[in-house]
Amino acid sequence: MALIPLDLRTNRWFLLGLAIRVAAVVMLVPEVQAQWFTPFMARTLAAPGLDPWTGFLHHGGQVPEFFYGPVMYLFHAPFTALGLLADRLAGSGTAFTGIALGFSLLAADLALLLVLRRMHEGQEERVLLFYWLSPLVLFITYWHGDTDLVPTLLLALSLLLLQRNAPRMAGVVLGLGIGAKVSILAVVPFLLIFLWSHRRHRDTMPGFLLACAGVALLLLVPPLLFSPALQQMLASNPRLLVANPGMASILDVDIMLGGGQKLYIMPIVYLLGLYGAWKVGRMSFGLLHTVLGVAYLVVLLLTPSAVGWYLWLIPFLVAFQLRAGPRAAGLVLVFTLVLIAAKTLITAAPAVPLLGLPLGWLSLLPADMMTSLRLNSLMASVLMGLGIVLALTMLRRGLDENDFFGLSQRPLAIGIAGDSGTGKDTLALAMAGLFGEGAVTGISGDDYHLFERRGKLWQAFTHLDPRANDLEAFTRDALSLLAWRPIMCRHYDHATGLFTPPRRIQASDVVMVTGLHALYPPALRERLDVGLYLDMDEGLRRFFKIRRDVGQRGHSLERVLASIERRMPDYEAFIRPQRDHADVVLSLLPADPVLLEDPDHAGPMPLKLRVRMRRATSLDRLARLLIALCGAQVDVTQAGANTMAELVIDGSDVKPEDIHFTALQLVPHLEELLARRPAWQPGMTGIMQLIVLLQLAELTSKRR
Amino acid sequence: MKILNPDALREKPRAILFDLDDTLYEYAGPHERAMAAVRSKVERSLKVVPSQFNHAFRQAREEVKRALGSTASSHNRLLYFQRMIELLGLNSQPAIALDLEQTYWRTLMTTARLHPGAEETLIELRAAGLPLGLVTDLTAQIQFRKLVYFGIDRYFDIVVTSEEAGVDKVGLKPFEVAAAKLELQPGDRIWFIGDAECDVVASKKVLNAATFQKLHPGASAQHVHDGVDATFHAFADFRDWARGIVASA
Repeated sequence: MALIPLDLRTNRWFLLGLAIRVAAVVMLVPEVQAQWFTPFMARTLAAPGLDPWTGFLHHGGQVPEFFYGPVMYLFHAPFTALGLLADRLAGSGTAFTGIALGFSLLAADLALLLVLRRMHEGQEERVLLFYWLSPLVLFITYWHGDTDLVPTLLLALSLLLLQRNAPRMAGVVLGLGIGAKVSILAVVPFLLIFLWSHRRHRDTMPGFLLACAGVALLLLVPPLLFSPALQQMLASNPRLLVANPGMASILDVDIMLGGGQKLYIMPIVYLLGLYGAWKVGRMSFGLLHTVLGVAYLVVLLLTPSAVGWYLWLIPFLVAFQLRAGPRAAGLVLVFTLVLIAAKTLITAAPAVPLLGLPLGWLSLLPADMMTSLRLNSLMASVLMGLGIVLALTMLRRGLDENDFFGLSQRPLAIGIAGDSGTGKDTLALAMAGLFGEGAVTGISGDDYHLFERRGKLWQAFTHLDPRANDLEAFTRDALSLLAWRPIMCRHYDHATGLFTPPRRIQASDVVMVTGLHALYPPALRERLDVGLYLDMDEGLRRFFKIRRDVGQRGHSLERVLASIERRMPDYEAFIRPQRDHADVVLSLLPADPVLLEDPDHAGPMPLKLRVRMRRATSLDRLARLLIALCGAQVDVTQAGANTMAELVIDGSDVKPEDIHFTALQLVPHLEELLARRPAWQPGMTGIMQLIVLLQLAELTSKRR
Repeated sequence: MKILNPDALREKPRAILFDLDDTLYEYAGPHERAMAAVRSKVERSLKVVPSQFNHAFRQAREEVKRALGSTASSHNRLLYFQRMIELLGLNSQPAIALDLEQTYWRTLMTTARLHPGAEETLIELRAAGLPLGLVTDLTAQIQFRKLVYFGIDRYFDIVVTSEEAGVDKVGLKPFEVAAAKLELQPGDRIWFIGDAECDVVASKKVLNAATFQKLHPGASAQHVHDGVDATFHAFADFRDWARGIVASA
């Protein structure tokens, strides 16, 4: 009980599910366990050895009819060994060994519940309902007696670890899953496609694959190479490597091609599933769950004799029900009930020794062969129909919800405009640090100045004048990157004042367009997902420029003031009007304006950030989280008929972790967008990162 | 919902007072997560091993509590961390102490969840026109941040922290301040919902309140404090029961 979380121990639904399980373990003796699993465990544990399969052959005189992987064997061994001991003491045959095997499965069952709760934090109550009270889990594990819970647990744990950015450990756990049941291998290609489809996960693929393959090979190669009994078993029937005992075939559905040749449908559908997953492109974790669920479901529908394999569906059905609401839960329930009814018809009911009921006591099939066949066919058809509806519903829902930011369609475009010295490059770098290297590309307006620094024409134009910039090329190049096309672009070297030769810039998930005129060309503006305008309080801007040019560079105050005045008309004509086109206007203000009056003030200048947002549905929540989690001071002004909503934030001492935690609370599907280890910034830059992400999430709906 | 003293609970209340920590949200789990985050940060930044941290923190907490008695500051994590760093032989280190305090509260808040049904209960009681108050130990700064974070500040007419009262609830004063703020008259029926024994004793003593003990998961009959009038595990049960009383009269 100590391993069970406190909230579960007092939960009536949990206790009900637990009571049902314990009662089933004690009372029911399922056929597959009585015939195969329990004798196998009992005989091999009675004379333990490194090769239990051959040990079984020697002690029982028969080749095993299923392949229990080493992990499955080791998982059940501690429980069943205790059961075996109890049987020896009580002289009760294998009764206690069977019950112990049931408790071993109950342990896996409980562990899977805990994994699913971690996977779906915040929805623990519904996980309990959809998993712990699922009739399918109860039927397959405790009525039919299959042991697929163990590989299913390892598969779910591997997915959880992958989601939690622990790819190597995920690989190790999946390798253990394969070591429990070889058929888990079927998910590996899907996982590789998923990792490849995400730039943020792509670099983790080798680590994941090596860990998984290493562990799986280490576990499976020695028994397959050195166990005579296994070799004998596989030589007589290779399908036993993956099939459950009692399964007629794993390629049940086929089409006769004539000449004795058959076309097996399942491998074709599996390959089509892989192709579909590849074509989807960038998959979210949600869609990965959907794709795996649908792939399994289709494989299962094409394997009518499978029962235990249906357990593999469970984590994905739970995820689907949690996301898709009551109708989905209803559909899953109907499918489950029909599935149980169909399988009850064709499988033997477990014995109930306490009530004196033998194996197969419940026979629902009519005695007449033809009627029985018709009933079976009818159930199989209804199941197939419902399964297809369920698969299509899961797929439609998964695709609808996938790719929250619409990155599969085109890159995310962020424009950052504003006058020199307002922090455009700082913000662009900070955003790039969030998305991660390799996921960001971009162009800078400086590279599109028409003249080098010594060019004579700078006497006639300021940099702010659109005529001094090749805005046509700037726009064309930005649009090319947004169409996933690489560009050739020269670079303005600020150190020399010269242009470098053109170099190739690749397209990527996020395109940052920064510059004095990033929101100036209408053709570019309308293609941006978020347009940012960086502003600065005019007094503050003058203060910083004078402090730098007079204080540090030794220019005369008059010259600096003249330069500011010379730029002012162009600033008002070409730069400031872009503010009206921005989705977000970020302005730095002095927290203590009195300091601006002292030109000799050399210490730090306390700042506040004013944020004006065109669309700000989460404004109140943002303000609350900034106050509560970051300890920032925030003034909120709601949007008026003609004014943008405004926040004034004083949070210079906010830490990167504060921003990270706040973003997790505030921005949905954040994990789809950010680097595996995003670089959050402290203070105002961090708050700007947060606001840009929030706007991306709010404005992204127009892309989808 | 278990009624222990039906006589105290027949009357519709004039106002309802709530405790915050471990009553409206579960404290133990988030506290563990928050301490783990602090421990890990101290290990990373100060190279202090967890056993050393645990020992120094325990000692620091005891010292602060002993020095400050039953006051809001005696619960102040900033003071605990400051003293802990001093005990580790690293002087006061205000920047590190502030960082650890922020790490603690940020982690606690982001991992804490209101108990299921708690917010709905507040909404429903408020909709019934009952004045609601929050009486809580600890400093106003952090308790207000929690209220804002959970988004439940809007449901309370008054909030009293032990910081403003000058002494913890055990010293009775916070309940007197709450009574004054709510302009309660002697004889007004008040309900108090909390988890700690001192809440029950003090609210009874000052306001003769009908007291409801929110039981922690797994708590059994022996965890019920003396003098409690009713206990409940789930807010939904309390709300369903309260409907009958609040709607009457």
